[in-house]
Amino acid sequence: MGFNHLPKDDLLLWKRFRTGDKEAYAQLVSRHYSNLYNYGSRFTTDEAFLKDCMQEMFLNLWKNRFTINETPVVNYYLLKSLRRKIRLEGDRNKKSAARAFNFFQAGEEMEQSIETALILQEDGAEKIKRIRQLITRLSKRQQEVIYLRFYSDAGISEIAEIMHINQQSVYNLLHDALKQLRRFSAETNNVALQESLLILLPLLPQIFLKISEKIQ
Amino acid sequence: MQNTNYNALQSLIFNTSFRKWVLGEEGADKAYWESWLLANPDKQALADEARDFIYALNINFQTLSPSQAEQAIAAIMQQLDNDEERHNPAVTEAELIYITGSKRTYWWVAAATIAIALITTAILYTGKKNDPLGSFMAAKGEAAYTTVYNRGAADTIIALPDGSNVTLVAGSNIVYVKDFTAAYREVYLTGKGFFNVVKNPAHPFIVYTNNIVTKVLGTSFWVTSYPADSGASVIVKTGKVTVFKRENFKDASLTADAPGAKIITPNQTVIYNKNESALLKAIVPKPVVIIQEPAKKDLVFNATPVIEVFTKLQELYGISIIYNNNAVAHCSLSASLEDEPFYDKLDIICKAINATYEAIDGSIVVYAKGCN
Repeated sequence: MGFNHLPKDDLLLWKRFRTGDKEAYAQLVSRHYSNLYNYGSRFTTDEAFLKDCMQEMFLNLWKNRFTINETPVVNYYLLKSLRRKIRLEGDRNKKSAARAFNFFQAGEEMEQSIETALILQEDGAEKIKRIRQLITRLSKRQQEVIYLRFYSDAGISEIAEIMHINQQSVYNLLHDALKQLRRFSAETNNVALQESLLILLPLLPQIFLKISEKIQ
Repeated sequence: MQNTNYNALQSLIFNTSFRKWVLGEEGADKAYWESWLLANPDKQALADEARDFIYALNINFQTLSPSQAEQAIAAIMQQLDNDEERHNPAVTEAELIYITGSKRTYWWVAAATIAIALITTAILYTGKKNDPLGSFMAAKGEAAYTTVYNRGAADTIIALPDGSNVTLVAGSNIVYVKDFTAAYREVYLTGKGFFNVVKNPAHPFIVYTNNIVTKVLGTSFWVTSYPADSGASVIVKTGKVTVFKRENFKDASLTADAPGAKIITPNQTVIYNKNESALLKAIVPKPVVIIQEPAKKDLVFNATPVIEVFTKLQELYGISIIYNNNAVAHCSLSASLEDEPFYDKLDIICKAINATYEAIDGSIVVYAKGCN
């Protein structure tokens, strides 16, 4: 999830790229392609359109290598460029623009990866599914803020930069989104809490044993 | 109150370390978060809630398989090459502009007559002071130098009077002393160039740039120094070069033992950082094998003492590997290393002997805990 490479490495590559180093450029492209694609695919279902946008964005980047600025975080710079490119091309090409859809769209991928949640008895999985459904009911911008915060580790100011809105708006979007999601989760929590305690009950002696071992 | 609660929830959900722990990812700080929960039992409910959100948000978005991504990336690089070939035909003679000293003077005279009222001695003086190329040329007078601009869109090779040559990257220029029989073969570079220098210890070859000076006897190396960029760098391909800060290079006779000078060999680089005004010695991002004989490239180890492995790597890449002899004395390696990049090889070796490493000042330092 997110970016497991160091922004510091990116900066060095960026520096070399700006002096016309094609090798550094190729590394930048391959480091960021997949994550950018994932972000871009939140705006359109048209794969060919998205790939074209990305190719053009990257080729422009190379064309401007000598005039482009130093950038604090490469990752966010690229996210912002791609977002702008998709918007621009989408406006030009009405068909693709109409395809815009949810950031966390319901469907197959929403069903996935619940198994990663360890224990997850039936109702645990139910709860997570329910939160996911609620996420898809958030406004698109709320979803985007959450996506950027969660998947790109972007801070408030970086998100503002990428989405081209002010920081207070980002903060509000995030705050309201969590508030809406939480309203539901609070309703179910009580029931869930009781049930999970019941499940833990037979395990209690073992837990105490473990703890006392540790203390010794 | 509510507000702070949301903030607390947010700060957990979007905390990378917490998230790694919840999802059981590699490198998670398990001990920290477990003890944090023990110490803060009142935060348990908050942590549980954050966990639910993280599970819910953790959707596997892999919409593109690695091979699809690779294809798309290859397509971009292919397109880039095609574009460049189409737009950047080989540099023509018209694009390669030679200005010898006398011509430069004419330009100067013309400009001076037009702007004569404006140009005062003071401006001239300060202008020279802030103009590193100007101060370079002041040594012998402009007539003693030739300037070559590469105005084309491709790299081109410029022959120098002594048989050396420089591959001048598009948009770059060099100024060189016409008389290469003088004590020093002196060149000033703006932009980026690859120098292939004929060996002549009696006449050291010196490349000046805005902020750094590179002095060699006979080697090949890259120098990069763009005016718009805040830094500069030198990368050695063959031989040995010495890099100085320009401000410290008061005299062309200075040698590698001068304070602050950096000596680098193949697979090493010196990077100049303007903000810190510092020369930093490092290993190039992708070191290559520097030994030509293929017989020596094989790296098949069978319970080989790791000291031998390190020695072999040093030979192949010319990068020194520093380790504590006692700590690795009992370590051995069974592995077949071939095409992996240098750093991947190091990863494999260090993992096998339970060690870590760090690149410091152009060398690799291995931290070993010992093997039984």
